[in-house]
Amino acid sequence: MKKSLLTFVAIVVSLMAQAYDYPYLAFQTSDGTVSTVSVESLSITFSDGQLVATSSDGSQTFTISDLTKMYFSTEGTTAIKNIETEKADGIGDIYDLTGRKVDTKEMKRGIYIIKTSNGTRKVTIK
Amino acid sequence: MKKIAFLFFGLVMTIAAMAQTLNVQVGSVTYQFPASQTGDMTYADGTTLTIMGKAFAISDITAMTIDNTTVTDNTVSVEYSSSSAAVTISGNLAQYLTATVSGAHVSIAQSDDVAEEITYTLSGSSSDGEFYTSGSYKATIELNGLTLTNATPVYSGAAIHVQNGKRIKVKPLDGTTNTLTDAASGSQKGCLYIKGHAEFAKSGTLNVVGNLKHGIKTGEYFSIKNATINVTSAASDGINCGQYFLMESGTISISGSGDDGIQCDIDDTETGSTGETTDHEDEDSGNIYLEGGTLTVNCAATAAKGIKAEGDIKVTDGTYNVTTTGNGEWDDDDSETKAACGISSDSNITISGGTLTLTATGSGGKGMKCDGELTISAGTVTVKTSGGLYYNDGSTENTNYTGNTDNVSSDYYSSPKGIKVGLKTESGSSYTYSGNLLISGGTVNVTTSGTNAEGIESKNTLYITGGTVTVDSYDDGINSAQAMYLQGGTITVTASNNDGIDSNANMYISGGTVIACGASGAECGIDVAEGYSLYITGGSVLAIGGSNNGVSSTSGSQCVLSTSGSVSAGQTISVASGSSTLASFTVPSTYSASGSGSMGGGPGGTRSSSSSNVLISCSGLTSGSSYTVTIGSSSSSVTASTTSSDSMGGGGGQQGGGPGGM
Repeated sequence: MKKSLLTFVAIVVSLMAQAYDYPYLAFQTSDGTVSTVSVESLSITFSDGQLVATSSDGSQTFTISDLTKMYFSTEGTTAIKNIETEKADGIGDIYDLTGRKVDTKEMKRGIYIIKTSNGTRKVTIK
Repeated sequence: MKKIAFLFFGLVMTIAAMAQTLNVQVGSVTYQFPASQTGDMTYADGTTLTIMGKAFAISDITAMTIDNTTVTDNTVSVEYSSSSAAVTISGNLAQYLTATVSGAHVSIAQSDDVAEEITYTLSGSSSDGEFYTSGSYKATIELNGLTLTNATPVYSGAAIHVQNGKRIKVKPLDGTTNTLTDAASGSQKGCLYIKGHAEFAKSGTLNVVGNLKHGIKTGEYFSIKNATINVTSAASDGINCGQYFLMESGTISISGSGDDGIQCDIDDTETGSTGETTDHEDEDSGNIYLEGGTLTVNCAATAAKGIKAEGDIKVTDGTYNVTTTGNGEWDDDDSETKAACGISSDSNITISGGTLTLTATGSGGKGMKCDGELTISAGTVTVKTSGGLYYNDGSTENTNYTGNTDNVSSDYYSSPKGIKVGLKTESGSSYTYSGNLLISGGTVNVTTSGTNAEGIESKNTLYITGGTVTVDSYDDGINSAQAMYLQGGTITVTASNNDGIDSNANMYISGGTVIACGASGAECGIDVAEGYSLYITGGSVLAIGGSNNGVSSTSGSQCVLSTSGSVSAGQTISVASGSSTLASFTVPSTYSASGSGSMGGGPGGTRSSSSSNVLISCSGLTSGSSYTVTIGSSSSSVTASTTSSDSMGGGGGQQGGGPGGM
């Protein structure tokens, strides 16, 4: 009985993982910036040259003429955007846990070490 | 444990169904793109968004949403609601379909690049809408509780118009009732029109009203399995198709048609008929195949045919009830009269099973007619006609003509008949005969009651080798223009106003049981034309009439007994040799001793009930020997012979006369 229950749970978790294969819709603009929005209850409208994406996480607006593509994504980019903003304020190099230097565009989910003008910080990209 | 398993299963299915879908709404049309298929969706110039090959003008997009809808590839759904329609298209089709919606009028054009079958599911209701689709790849149309009336045509006057020359499956879904009504104006050929070939399946119900022309029109073949189709009204035919018509099962009911119930014609008239092909592949024969199910046709239009085929009609199983009530009419195009008929073939009819009940009540009406051969080997055929002779010379109409037709052009009248087979074509001063009638099994019952109505007529030869044939007719019971061969089976005929069995050439009786009762006067139980002969070499034969044709001798002749007596319905007529009964017959219950006869074609006098001519032949008779013939309770001694003379009944009835006769 216990074994069957464990098997059931494993299958359910696996299916749930698959069902939410794409928790995000990513928008890429002409400068290469990628922003993601949660697909949960996502609604997109177009008005006056603007694309407004509204989901359970809030609302984001994009200028349509800046957009190059959108795609379903497994990874969000909120942390990357924050890092970009911080870099503009004096962030230095960024390293992964193996010590390899990475570009913000390469950052995927994981833990990174960021050198800033105010010291070294550990950042987790979810 | 079981409960847990059920819960688990439900949870798995729920999770599995929670696939992500991007819904792109453009007016009344929503395109559903599964997240797993979209890939990169590209923006261009701030004006266009392309998803899975479909380019959207951003200005056209009403909204985009993401939900957990499960999308099945190659599907389109149209849901009608009053004066609007919502169209949903699966993402993989988006780039191949062009959908336009005007109120509840929907048009979907398939690109020629479509390479997979699309299923269109139509549901909901509208009192002014339509579904029009065009394409060049096979498709399926599911009807899921659809009620659709086209009042003001936008794309077509049809309720459903499929401008697609391929195979179209039409599926009224199980448990649903669907009703289609077309517009009263437009150019549609049918309320439901399919340019290609249509296969009706599933066991839902489809009701059709064709206000402009046909109820259902298919350019190519029509086949049905399981479905129920009711054409309740049609300005022209109930169902009209090309190539061939195939009913494997299901139920079809046709009523209120302005012309034929079902008509099937050859599609490619230049090439002509392919005949029946293996598995009907590439067949274009004009044939009608009735293989099962139940078909009911009621036609009231003048000269309408219940079931009409340019090719053959083949019946192997199923139940078919066809009623025509219309009178004949004058056909200006052909300059001749035309009459109604239950089942009509320009070629051959073959019946090897099934149950056919054919009723024609109109003037000139026939139960069954074919220009070629009629073959009945099994099944049950019941025919009843009650109309009289229809006369029309283009200016004068008589729906119950009782005059002499001997000198009337055959173009000017249509005689009612139970079954008519073959053609007698005038060619200068001679005739050519085509078509034959062969009954080898089954049960055939024919009743005709109108003036001049024959029971069974062959315009060429006639063979009965088996089966049970029963005829109760006004005019000749069974007639053939050429030789007649009665070789087996049980044949019982009563004709109230003419001969029981009449051949216009030689008649050969060699087996079976034959009871033939004709009218009085010069009318015979069995008659052949002057200059021809009646030969009996076997079987059990009883002929009763005002007269009987003489029997000629031939190799293997069976002896005959010729006598007269007072005959009445239900009587027993027997032949005995000493105490041995050689044959015993029961006079048909439909026989009337007061039946009127004629001398040459007009209304005749009444038969005296005192005496009828009786001709008997059976095995065991020896020429020159005497036998006791008992008619009812009266017995007489009669000498057998291999021949007999044309004979009148003793003390026979008053002679009748034609118009102007004595």
